[in-house]
Amino acid sequence: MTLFQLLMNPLISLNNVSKNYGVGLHATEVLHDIKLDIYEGEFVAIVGYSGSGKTTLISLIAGLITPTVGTVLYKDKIVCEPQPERALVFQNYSLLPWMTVWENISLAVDQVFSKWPKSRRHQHIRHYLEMVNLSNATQKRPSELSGGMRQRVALARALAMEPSVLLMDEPLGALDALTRGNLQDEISDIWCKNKKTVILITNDVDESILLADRVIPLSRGPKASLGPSIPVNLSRPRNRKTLNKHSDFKNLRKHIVNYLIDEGASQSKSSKRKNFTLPNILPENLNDPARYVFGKRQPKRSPKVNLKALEVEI
Amino acid sequence: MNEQIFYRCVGFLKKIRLGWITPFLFLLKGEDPRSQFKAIFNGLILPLVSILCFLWGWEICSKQIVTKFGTVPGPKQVWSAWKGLGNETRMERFKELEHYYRLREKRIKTISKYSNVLNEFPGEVPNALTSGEVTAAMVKSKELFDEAKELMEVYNRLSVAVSLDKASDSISNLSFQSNQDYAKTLMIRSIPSEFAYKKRDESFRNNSDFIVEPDDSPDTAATKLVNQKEESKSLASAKANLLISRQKSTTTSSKLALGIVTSLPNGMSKHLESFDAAAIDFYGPLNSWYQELLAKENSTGKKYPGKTKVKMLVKAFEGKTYVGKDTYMGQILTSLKTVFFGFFIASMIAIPLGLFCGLNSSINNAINPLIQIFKPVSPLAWLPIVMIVVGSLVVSDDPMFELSFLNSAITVALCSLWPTLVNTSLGVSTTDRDFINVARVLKLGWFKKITKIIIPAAMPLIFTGLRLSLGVGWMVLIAAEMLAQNPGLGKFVWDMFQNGSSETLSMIMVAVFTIGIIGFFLDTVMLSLQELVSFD
Repeated sequence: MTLFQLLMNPLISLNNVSKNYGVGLHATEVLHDIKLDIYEGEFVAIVGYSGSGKTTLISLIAGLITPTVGTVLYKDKIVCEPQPERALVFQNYSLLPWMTVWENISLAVDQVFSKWPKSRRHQHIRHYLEMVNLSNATQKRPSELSGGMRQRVALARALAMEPSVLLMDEPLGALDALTRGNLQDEISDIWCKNKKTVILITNDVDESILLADRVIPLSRGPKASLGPSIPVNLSRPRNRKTLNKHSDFKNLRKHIVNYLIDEGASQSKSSKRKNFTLPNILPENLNDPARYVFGKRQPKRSPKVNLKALEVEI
Repeated sequence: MNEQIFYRCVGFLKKIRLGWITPFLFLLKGEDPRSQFKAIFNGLILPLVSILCFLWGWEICSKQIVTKFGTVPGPKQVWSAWKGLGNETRMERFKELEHYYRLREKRIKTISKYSNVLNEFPGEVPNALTSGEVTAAMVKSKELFDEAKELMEVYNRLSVAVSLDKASDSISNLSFQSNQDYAKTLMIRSIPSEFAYKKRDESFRNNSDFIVEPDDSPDTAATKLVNQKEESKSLASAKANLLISRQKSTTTSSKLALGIVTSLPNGMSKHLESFDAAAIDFYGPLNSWYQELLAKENSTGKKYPGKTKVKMLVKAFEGKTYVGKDTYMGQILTSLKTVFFGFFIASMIAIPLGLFCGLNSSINNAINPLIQIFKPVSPLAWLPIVMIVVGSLVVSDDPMFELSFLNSAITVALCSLWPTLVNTSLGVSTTDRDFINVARVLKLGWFKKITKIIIPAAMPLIFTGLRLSLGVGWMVLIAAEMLAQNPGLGKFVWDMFQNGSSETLSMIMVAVFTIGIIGFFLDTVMLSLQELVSFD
């Protein structure tokens, strides 16, 4: 934390924020007493176990949900609804499948920059598509793209809104390791170019060290709270290959991982583990050719698992 | 790229129930034939085999059951009844053509008769109306037409003919310019079977072997009765065969006749067309001239000498469209119109209402009980209410739609409303949270949120609802038409049931198949639309 930052007000601050799901006896406190200040131009990564309430935390900051206790402030004003100024890159891309890549981004750009003339908006969209190397896939639909490309579109959509804060909710969680590495480099490059305030939620410790200025671990839920902020003072641009051998990097990683493990161990000791039985469902074999019968509809995919509900229970 | 398009087409074909075509495409592409033959077997051969088994079973069973209309018709009779309906349509078309020929003749006659009046006509009389070339073409084509008509009527004359000699006479008297030999052979070939049947029928009525006399002993009477039953059964099947063969000849002759009329030599048909067009153009100025004359007469009080003649001219050139009796094709069309109109009304109500229900759980809670109560109501219960209410609401003498049409369309709408309503509401209320979150982060306005996010996301379910609705509507329509006596397939079935001829059952079966096939077709169309809008 620099002196400069101490003198100015934080861009975002969470004051003693708690969030419960459910009411009365069934209420579960997911986040407990979260204190977090984020300053302009920072790249902050929040690392935690899956199911520890990371998505809840970023939804609070985005304004998609409101805290049970405490306040979330953005530019000294209480956050009560989402705004394009705090753009969110969703965990599962959330691209609109009936629109092409271009239409997906132009939906955001047309909304945020509705006063601009059409040509300027088009140029803007083209600029951000180029930034994420998607210039030649503009007319494709999300279903025709790979996971990495879809996340690029989502990133371009968020960036094109020119937000003052970019919130990223496990953006690379669903990607394979190689694609993930490439996208990490791209995110890093883009950030170095425009130095936006970024909050990155991740479960990958390496990723957080590679990208962020400071890393904050989130303890295991329920009743998750933030651990001490750990500054990452590695020089930029950071190279993944050389970084792996860097001693500072190794120490940082050890530090964060140890914190998470210790915290996790104490949590699981203290909290009574809830046992619940999973429903006895076998996955359907959708590729079974016997199912493609003349005149018969194909079996429906099983309904999506409600991630939030699971998060509460674990 | 081509590969991609190919696989997309294959996928689409599979989804719209044309999956059985795909193995042939793969074979053309040179894929492994064994697996493709297996697919052909499963997708094409098996269904065909089952259809054939069904037809065979039908044929066997139908002979066992004797109703008051004779034996239950087998596939052959039903097919010939279908052919007969086609025949009827052709006859009707023929009558329509005849109507227009008569109209033309009348026009030519009036024009030549009152040509001296036309000299005073302020405008110009179109050339095509008076040119000798056109008139010649008209005469020639009328000749052809008459000949074709005669060809078609010969069969009727045949059944009127009492003896073989007279029938052959009437055939040998025919003089056809076209297809002479063919027509004659057709007639001659069918004569023996006609007369054989007639003879047999007569002998059945008069033969003492079959007629129980008052003084017969019980044993003789019993034998006679058994004989009578046997003979009447075999006569019935002979009659069925006769009907089929008669049908065949009539079909051929009517096809032939219509062929002659519709494929006139190019020059001739061009003349006819130009004459018709000129006649339509001519009517406007002619009529205004007549009105002018009338006005002048009124204002000056002086009588114009040629007034009645002009009036005759105007009358001759009035557009008279042909009003014929409903053909089977016409009834199918009416049914389709009705179902689409009802379906349209239903969608116009159900989609917006479903949208509001899905968006707002309070509205949904409020309306849900009503939906649940009205959903299972049978069309037969709606119809009387609709008939009374619509009947009292529509009071104008010249309504835009016929009353019976409105009755059945509204009944269809009332019954097909619910699937769309329920599915739209479900689709809207189950829009993925993530899509809603996108809308929230972007701060989309209410209207934009609905048009850009919610409706597209609900589209697949909306179309599922529409598809179900159209299916329900088509099913309801037949019942509604039967009761409301709206021209259409339902009325056709009812009329056939009422008239109780020997063809009743086969006609109804034809209607059953027509209804089924059209329903299947409508469903497939909706299915392909649904596939086009779905985004997974």
